Amino acid sequence: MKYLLLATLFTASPLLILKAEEPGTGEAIYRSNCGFCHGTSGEGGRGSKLNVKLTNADNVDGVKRIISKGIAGTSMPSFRFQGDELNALAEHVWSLSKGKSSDAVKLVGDAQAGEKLYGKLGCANCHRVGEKGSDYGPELTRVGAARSAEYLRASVTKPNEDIPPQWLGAKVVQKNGSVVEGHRINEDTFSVQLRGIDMKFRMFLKDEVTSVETMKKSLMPAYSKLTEKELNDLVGYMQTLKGAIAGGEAEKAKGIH
Amino acid sequence: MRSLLIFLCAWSVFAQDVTYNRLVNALKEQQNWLTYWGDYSGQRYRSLKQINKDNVKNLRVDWMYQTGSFGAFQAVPLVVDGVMYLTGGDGHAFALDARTGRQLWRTRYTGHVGKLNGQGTMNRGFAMLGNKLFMTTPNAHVVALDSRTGRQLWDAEMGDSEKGYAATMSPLAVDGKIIAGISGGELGIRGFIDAYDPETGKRLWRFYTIPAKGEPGGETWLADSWRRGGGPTWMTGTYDPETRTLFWGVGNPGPDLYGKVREGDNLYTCSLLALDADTGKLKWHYQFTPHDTHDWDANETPMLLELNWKGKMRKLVVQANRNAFYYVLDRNTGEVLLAKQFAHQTWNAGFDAKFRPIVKPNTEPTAEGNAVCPGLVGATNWMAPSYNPETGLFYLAVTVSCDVYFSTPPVFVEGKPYWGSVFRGWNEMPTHGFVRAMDPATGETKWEFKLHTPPWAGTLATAGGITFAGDEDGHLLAFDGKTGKLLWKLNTGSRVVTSPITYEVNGKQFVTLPSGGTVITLSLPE
Repeated sequence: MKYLLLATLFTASPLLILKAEEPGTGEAIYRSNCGFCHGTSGEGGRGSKLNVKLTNADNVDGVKRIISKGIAGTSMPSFRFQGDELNALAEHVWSLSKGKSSDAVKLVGDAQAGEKLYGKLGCANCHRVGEKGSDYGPELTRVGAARSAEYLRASVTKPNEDIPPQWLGAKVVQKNGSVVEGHRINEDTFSVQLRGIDMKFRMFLKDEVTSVETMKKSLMPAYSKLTEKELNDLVGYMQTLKGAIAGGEAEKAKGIH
Repeated sequence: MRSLLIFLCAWSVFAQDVTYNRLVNALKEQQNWLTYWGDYSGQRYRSLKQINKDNVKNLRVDWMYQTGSFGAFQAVPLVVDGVMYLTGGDGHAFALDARTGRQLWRTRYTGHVGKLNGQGTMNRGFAMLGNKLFMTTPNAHVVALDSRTGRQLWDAEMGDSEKGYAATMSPLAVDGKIIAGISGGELGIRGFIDAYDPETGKRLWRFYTIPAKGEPGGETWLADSWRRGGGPTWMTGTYDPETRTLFWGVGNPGPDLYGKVREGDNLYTCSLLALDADTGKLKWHYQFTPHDTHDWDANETPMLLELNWKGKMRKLVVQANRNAFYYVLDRNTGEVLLAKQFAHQTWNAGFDAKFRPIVKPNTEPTAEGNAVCPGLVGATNWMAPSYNPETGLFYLAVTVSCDVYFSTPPVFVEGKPYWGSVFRGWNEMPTHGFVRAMDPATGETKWEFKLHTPPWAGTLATAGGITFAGDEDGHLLAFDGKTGKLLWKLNTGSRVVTSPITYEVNGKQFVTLPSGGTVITLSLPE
């Protein structure tokens, strides 16, 4: 869904006129390995925006370090590029951000007001920030570093547009007709294990239920009735969330916060 | 009525939190296994009988969960409302769907990595209170995890692993306290039992198993030998909620095999302690092996029984000790009522009126080596016994062995092994083992099944009339609890170093045995 959206944006933008690509150039490597998260021009998506001043790298070497090691506690994995390929890719990523000193889209949000709104809307009932909140939904401790403002804005107002597969909701219809919805934590041919919003496990054998469906929508409700200011504030607050996530698997490199 | 029953079942399946009240009444939840021992008494008996003497021959593997990690499981899983929680070696921990073995979460504590001083990394399992799980770690910490996600909530240091402190035991959850013990009896530690606040990890009390100079019992240690006197508390104790008393075994004095540097009885090593769970104050103690020089820790299960004792029901604590004697004590007074030999031994010539053992001459380790029975690992060890109230029998894994014990004065270096020499097997007495059924009131053997290799697996008794056991050669064994007839066996392919459990989910009975790096769960065919 989001890809479709991006594609639409893409064709509408002069930047998106396809250039003849030579394989092996930094741009080509970028497009085939990075673009599906960071956007083909670094405009961001599931991954952070790269056409702005980078949060975690101060130079090309910093970019190389992130490419090679990933970023702990985020979905940024490590890649095995080496030598010329790594140099070319890092140069390209750096060129996307070069000279950019701030977010291209100025956010006018008031982070303090946004934090209050975050509390009022009950976001912590599903999301964790640092030591507070629930583990039902994705952790937001570091979401300000990991996601672009546009992506966060879209996630709040249109959560169904781009759902990472591990966060697609699951729905079990029991033989007595009752329905159990939750976050799917495991599934195989014969059984499915969900986590309910009450954080209890719900475990089913498939031959004991009528159906197990993948929900086509997010478990998160759409907050489409927020005012422009409220949305800016909320996104403004989330952009301040750049904390370290406990237990991250990737190596924590110097300068990454 | 039926709908009420369904409601109650549904409630229990979805409860998934463990209150102190549930722990006190653990035996009212025969479908669950809420503590390391299954309940506070340590009886390891379940009234489940879907799997029974007649159909156990049909038992087959229902699911297996392979951890992919090395080292044999020593944990006893907890089963709480359809969810199984267990720890593996090297900081690993798992939550599984108890009906299918599918993973709910998996995590790893890594605080010990690169910080150990030769300590092992095995672990014996979780305690649970509320929605928190508690485990000890190889570097002698206690940590709390969120049972719903595996997320670590707090991390409390019990002792410095650089100084030889370590931990492997499954903590015990009581009313508002997590009780944990320490390992390191071979590394010159000073042992203790701790209580922690389950919410914060703050230490609430500590009882040192080695009294300092000037404290009661301090006079049983030569000079300052108490400072490195050992006395580890490396197994889970039992608990009487009526009197709020903990019963906890204490391990060997250090150095293990050389006693001259620590002349005296060396309290409270090789003893059973009764502690006030609220304060950690000592209520009574009994020392099975004063001034031990054979590493006969008393960390074996202090099982709580209520038996007809000479015509009167009496609250007892019983222990089959590493020193080859089975003991019966009054739980409330500490009075010793019986000490009965259950395996071959050469060190004891009887007991005095106060049940202090009369030690035979020439049974100390020597520089040239001295053969004494039982051997260093003892006539039994930490593998759990069980008791079946229907057969009235106590089921014990027994080791028959002797060792040649050597002894030389050791040099104490903090954090280094402090054995005082070595031991080795004695060819005159080839080792072997037994699964043995005993009358718990007399210590008399009722039946026994000989095992080729001494066992390190415990037993489980069920109302189906079965006694489950395991052996060192990898078998899970099912016996007729009354007669000792072997009814069924399964070669699990790896040594069995823990004890089987049984539980029920949605009306179906399962038997689980972690073996090697795999959790094996059995049931009857549909």
